[in-house]
Formats: sequence, C-alpha cells, structure tokens
Amino acid sequence: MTGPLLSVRDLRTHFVRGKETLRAVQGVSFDVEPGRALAIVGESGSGKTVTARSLLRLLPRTARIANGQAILRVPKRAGASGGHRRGSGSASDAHREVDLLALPERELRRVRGREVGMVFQNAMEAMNPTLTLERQLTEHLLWHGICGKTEARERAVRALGDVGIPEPERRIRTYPFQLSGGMRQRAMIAMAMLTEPALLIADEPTTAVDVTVQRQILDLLVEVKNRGTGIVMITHDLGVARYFCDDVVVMYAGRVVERAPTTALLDEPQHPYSVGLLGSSVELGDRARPLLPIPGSPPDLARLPSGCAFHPRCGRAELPRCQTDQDLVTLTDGRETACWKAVADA
Amino acid sequence: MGTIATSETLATDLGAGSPVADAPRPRGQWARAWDRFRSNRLAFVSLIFCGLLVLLALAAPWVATHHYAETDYNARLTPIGTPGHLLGTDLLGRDVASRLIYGLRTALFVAFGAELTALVLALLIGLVAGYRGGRIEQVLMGFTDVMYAFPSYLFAVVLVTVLGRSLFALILAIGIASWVTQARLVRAQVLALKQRDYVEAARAMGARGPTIAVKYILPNAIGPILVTTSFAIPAAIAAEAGLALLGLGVQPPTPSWGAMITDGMKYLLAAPHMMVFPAVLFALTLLAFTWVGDGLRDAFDASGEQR
Repeated sequence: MTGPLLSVRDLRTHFVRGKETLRAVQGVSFDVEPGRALAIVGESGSGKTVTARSLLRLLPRTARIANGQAILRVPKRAGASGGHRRGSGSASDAHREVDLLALPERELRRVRGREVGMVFQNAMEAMNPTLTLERQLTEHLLWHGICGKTEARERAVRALGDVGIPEPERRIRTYPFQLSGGMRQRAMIAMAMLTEPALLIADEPTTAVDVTVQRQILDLLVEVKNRGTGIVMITHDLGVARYFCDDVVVMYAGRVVERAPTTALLDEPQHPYSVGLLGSSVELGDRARPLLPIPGSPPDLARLPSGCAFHPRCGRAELPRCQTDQDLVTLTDGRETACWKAVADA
Repeated sequence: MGTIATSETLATDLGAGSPVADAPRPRGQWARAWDRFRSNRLAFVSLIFCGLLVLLALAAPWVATHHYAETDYNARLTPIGTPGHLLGTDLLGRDVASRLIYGLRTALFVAFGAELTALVLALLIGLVAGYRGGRIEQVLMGFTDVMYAFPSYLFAVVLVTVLGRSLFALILAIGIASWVTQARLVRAQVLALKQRDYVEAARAMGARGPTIAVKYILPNAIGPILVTTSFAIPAAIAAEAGLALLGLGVQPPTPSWGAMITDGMKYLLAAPHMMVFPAVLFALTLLAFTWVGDGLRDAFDASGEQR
C-alpha cells in the first residue's frame, strides 16, 4: 500500500447564520484505505453528514469550509481534460494527489461522480422523476466523456443486472418511481459505481429502506468494497457499521470523540459517548440487558459547552477537568479517544 | 386521481419479488398527465374546441367566403341568412362570418404570440434568478418587482401608442404585461426544486450548473408553468379585445373581436347580429381556454401528489 486513498486532515466546516457562526465540523481527520470501509457514526447534528458533504463541497450556500485538507489519490487519466480513453493506472506512480477542498470548481466537477461516487439516503428523492433509468444512469458517463451513448447504455444494463435487478433491459426504460424502494437503492448504487470510482461516499444508504432490504443493500456494498473501492459510510446505526465497516469514527458535536477498528470499538468502547451509543442500540444489545438511552439531547452548535461537548450528558464527567479541551489521544493499539478519563484508565 | 398513483406504487412495490411480467410500462410525466387530462371530459371537449379554433384561424383564407376588408355597399347591415352572407353584413357591407374568422386569427395570433414572449422571458429570468441566486437574483427580481408595480394596462397603452397599432406592438404590450407573474412563479418553483435531493445528486455526479437547471429543475417545474400559461392565454385574448375597445387594437380594417363588438354596440337594435356573434364567440373561446387550463392544472397537480 502506497498510502491511503483519502486522507482528511483537520476539516472545519462552519455555517454562517446572521452574525452567528455554527461550527458544524471542528477539526475532523481520518484516512480511508482502498478496499476498506470507514463508518462515521453519531446522532443527528453530530456533523457526520456535513463532513461527508464537505468532501465534495456539496454544501448549502451558508456553509464555508474554514480549514482542512482532503487529499484524494486519483488515477492519472489519459488526457487530463477528460478524453474518451480511460487511463489504465496500474502502476502506483500512475496516481496523482488532489486536495478536494482546494480544487477549483471546474476540476472538482471532474472528480465528482467519476473518482468519487455518492449514494444518498433516499433513492426516490435522489433520482430525477422526469428521467428514465437509462438517462439517469448514463448521463454522468457522458458528462465525464467516459464513453459514448450506446456503450453507456450497455454498461448501465450490465450494472443493473449486477446489482440484482431482474430484466435490466426492460427496467432501464422505466422511471424511478416505478421501482420498489429496494430496487431504487440498488439502482443508485449501480449508478454511482458505473464510473468505477475509487471512493464511494454512502450517506445512510440503508436508513430509508425496509429492514428486509437493508441486508441486500449492505451485501451489495460489501461486494463493492471487495472490488477495491474505499467506502465512507455515514450512519447512525452501529449495527450497519458492525456488518461491514472496518473502522469507525464516532462524532459528537462536530468533533471526533473516538476512532477505532470496528470490533475494538464495539467490544471495548473507550469514550463515554461511544459507550452510550452502544448502550442505546437495539440491535447490538443483549436481550437481558436493558436499553440505556443517553440522557439529554445533543447540544446547540451555537452554544456549545466548553471543553468536551459531551460532559453535560456524561455520567463520568468530572468538573472542571472536562471543561477544558481534550484532543484525540492515541492509545496503545492504535485507537484514539478524546476522553481524558479513558486515557487515564488505559 | 389518487387511485392511479396508489395502484402504480403497489404494483411496483411487489415488483421486487414478483415475476418480471409485472414490470410496469414506462410512462413519463407527460403520458401520465395526458391520461389524467383525457379523463376530464369538460377539459377534453374544450381542448377539441380550442383545437378547432386554431385550425379555423389557420385556414381562414380558405374557409372565409369573403375577404375581411371586402365591402359591398349594396348589402349593408343585411340580417342573418342573407344569401352569400350567412351571418349578415356590417355597416360597410362586410361579411360578418368572414370577419369573425379573421378576428379569431387576430385574437389567437396576439394571444399565443404574447404568451410565448412572456413564457420565454419568464423562464429566462425566473430560472437564472432562482438557480444562481445572490446578486444576480436581487437585480433580476428587483427589476421584476418594479415591473409588477407598474399598471400593466397603462404600460400596454403607452407601448401601443409609441410603437403604433401593429400586431407586433400588441404582442409585445400584452406579453410584457403578463411575464412578470410568470417569472415569479418560475423562480419560486426553481427555489423549491433546488432543494431536492436529485439536484444535489446530479451535482454529486459532476453535472454542470446549466445542465442541472435545464435537465433537472426545468422539467420538474414545467407543469405549473404550463398551467399558468394556459390561463394567461384567455387573459391575453381578453386584453386584446379590451385594447380594441379603447381604440388601441389592431389597425382597421384588420378585424378584431373587440372592435367588432364596439362597432356592433352602436347598431344593437337595428342589426344585433353585428355584436351578438362576436360576443358569443368571444365568450365561448375564453371559456374553452380556461377549461383547458383547469384540466391541465388537475392533470399536473396529481403528478405532484405521486412524488
């Protein structure tokens, strides 16, 4: 391995609301390796979605990326302006590094959908109701000049078949609303993967689908991962993270509070917030063990408590120590936590 | 038409596991809107009527028995049923039936021309303002608001006075009077659609701004825009007649229903046919176009429900 596929350093994204500045993401760092999946978990408002959207700069007008780097290793393409041939890019030196956060808009557009695919929470909403699946799936192949219309169509049909949609030849002529929720979600994954991106960002891809379909979607993503694609998965569901993510980043109030390999995190959560998340998870709990909801609610980003933002809800909090800032500290086995008590215990 | 929507979704929900024979027929928004429109009998009949009117207007030179300016001083104010003059003649001995047909031509030409002008302006300004936002939006919508505050009839009167009483001036005058409300509607639609996930998804796939505006926002906004345009057409026909009533219509002898009605009023007792026919046809035309608009509104509203 010559290095991570994506390397995010000290990402800070702010929202400007009148005179207030909401610090939605405050110094997030993580790496994604090819063929591995990273889960970013947290409650709503923890900044996990903003983090993901910041990577492709798909943010509302009021948002501003205040700081950070997101270095993506992309294969060198024949003809940098997007010709019809695809670069083979087998040798490791056939890669170049781009900073997604600093790239000019024009160049970023070439990265979006081509080097980085994105899967949304609600496929119904994420597909244009006036386009047939064929148009929907092939448009970005044409935008990026990857291939011509006929080939794009063939590829789309094949991709639909690959994700398990029956009779793709016929389905491709239908509109998104004529598919079931599960099929739509699979079609969206097929769409994102058509350009063979090196990185896939999946924003709660299983939240809006039936439980019975969730498993299929996850299995599909496992396949994508096994083909060497790096995946960033945004989820609030630790069960999803356990099922197929290799590493987990736990976010709270815009900061990373813990980062660890999935099994380590689930077996021995270090940060009290991670402990709380696990304790309130239905799927992961023992039947015998009562569910333990985290008391209180996530803080208002405009009025964050000083120090560790979790301390007002934390059962182990000790004032005033918890009111001073605590950076992530690396523990022995390469895991990191932002709780000084956890560090002291380790 | 909620039933259609539910049965469709039901069928597709089962689609995942059921035999492939269930795969639904691909039907786009137009096809579905057309289905709903057709099931509305009043709207459908009105549409046929409007279609006939358009055909009649196009075929005027072949259908009309006389030229609209052809006078016959020996047959002035002849009543209905006079041989050669089915609907009688007017003060100058001109054939009323023929003038009605040519008047229809004027009315439709002005109305469609004006609404086309208005639509193009409204789409351009509304789409750019709504999509780009920021300073551009402020300037464009500020301009629109100023135009909105201006009394449109007065504006039309000034324009016709300045440009002369030509068809072109009328189209411009009426078009400019009606683009403002439409531009605001387009912008409102764009603002709402801009928030949709599929617009963001398109951006995430690398779409350029204009592509998103034209392929992802516009087709989804077209329903409501089409509906207001269809309501604006009878309004434009009425506006043309109104201007004619004020003496600001097309230059005589080019016939206009408004002018025919005004002339007819003077001889209401001696020759009622001079006013009655244009008035009745005018009313029917307005009604038919309005009903078509109603039908379109219902047809497109239901498609909104389905999402």
